[in-house]
Amino acid sequence: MNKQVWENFKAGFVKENPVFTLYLGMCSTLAISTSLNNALGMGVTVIIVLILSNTIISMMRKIIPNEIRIPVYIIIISTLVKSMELFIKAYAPTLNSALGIFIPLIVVNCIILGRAEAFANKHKVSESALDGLGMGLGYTFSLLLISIFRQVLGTGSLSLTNPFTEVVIFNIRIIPSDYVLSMFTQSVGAFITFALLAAGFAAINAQKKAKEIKNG
Amino acid sequence: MKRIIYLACFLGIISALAGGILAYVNDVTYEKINEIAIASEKANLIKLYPNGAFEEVTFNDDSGLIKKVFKVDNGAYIYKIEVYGYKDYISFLVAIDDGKIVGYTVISVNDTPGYGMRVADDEYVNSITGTSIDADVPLLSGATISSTSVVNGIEAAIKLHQSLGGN
Repeated sequence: MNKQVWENFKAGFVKENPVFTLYLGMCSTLAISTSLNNALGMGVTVIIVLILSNTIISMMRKIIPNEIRIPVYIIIISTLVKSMELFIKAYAPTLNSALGIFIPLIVVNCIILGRAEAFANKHKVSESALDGLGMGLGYTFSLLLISIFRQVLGTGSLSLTNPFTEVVIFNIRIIPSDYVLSMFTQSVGAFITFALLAAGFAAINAQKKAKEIKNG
Repeated sequence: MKRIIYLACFLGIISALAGGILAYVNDVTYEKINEIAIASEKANLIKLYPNGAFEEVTFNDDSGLIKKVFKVDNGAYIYKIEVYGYKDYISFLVAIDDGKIVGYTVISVNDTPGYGMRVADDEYVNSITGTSIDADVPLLSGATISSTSVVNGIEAAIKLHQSLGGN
């Protein structure tokens, strides 16, 4: 694996984190980051869709006519998302009822179309698939980060269940239930958590940049 | 002109392929999804009558709130009700027997945690169960909008129960 590809893969986490620095895919991020379960379920679904859409679009990049590339991307992405939705409905019904409308809305998640347009249609299949994985992991990482804060502050405990078998993997109470701030489970809490985390990411990136300039 | 026809054909072929893939996925998952829908209905009924045998009853409801009616083998009726709460639909079951509400269980609710969500809590379940169908169904303070919708649904079920000739 050459160095540039690896750098590009890593960038999805902090430097080019799709949620906190590119501000892509915000709608679903704010809406479903109420619990670890939802965040993980959404994240994994997006990773799968992103890898597949990047791969397929990259494979077809030489035959897709330039004038209609966006509609073609949308058809590919929506087919993938609808298939995922049907599989989730069939095999992980609890996840389906928790995420609800936000599964079909992955079609309009800007991260996916954004990566198709900005990366997959210019790069090789293997690089595009890796970019999909990197960006998808970056998105999942952001969702998990927001949801940890929101679930702990809003409900006082942190829990994870297996969506296929509904077995509780862990459930830890961190804050006694009398002292929770249920505001954090609502949209206000989502915005506050997001803003603080985005500020943190901006600070980290600014510091890194300053260091790079200093070191020449 | 030629270019436009080419583009249209290209888009048409891609759409047809996508349609074919979706038809296949739908075919693979259809039975499983259907099965889950039926199983989840039964799973909820069992919460009210663990050993009951259930039979779906046809009915005529003017309020439009009652989605399904099941007759239990001991003579009780279970009503599946769907009402609009504070920000989403609340779906719940109510069992009526001997002139009393003998069971109430919420299937799905998506209102505000700590407020409307409390219509599914034990506190409210206990205050509803045992209420006579001639008395007022209790509301839940702090969750007025959500519980008013639930009460409207239950009252529609009581009306239907009387017209069905249930005891």
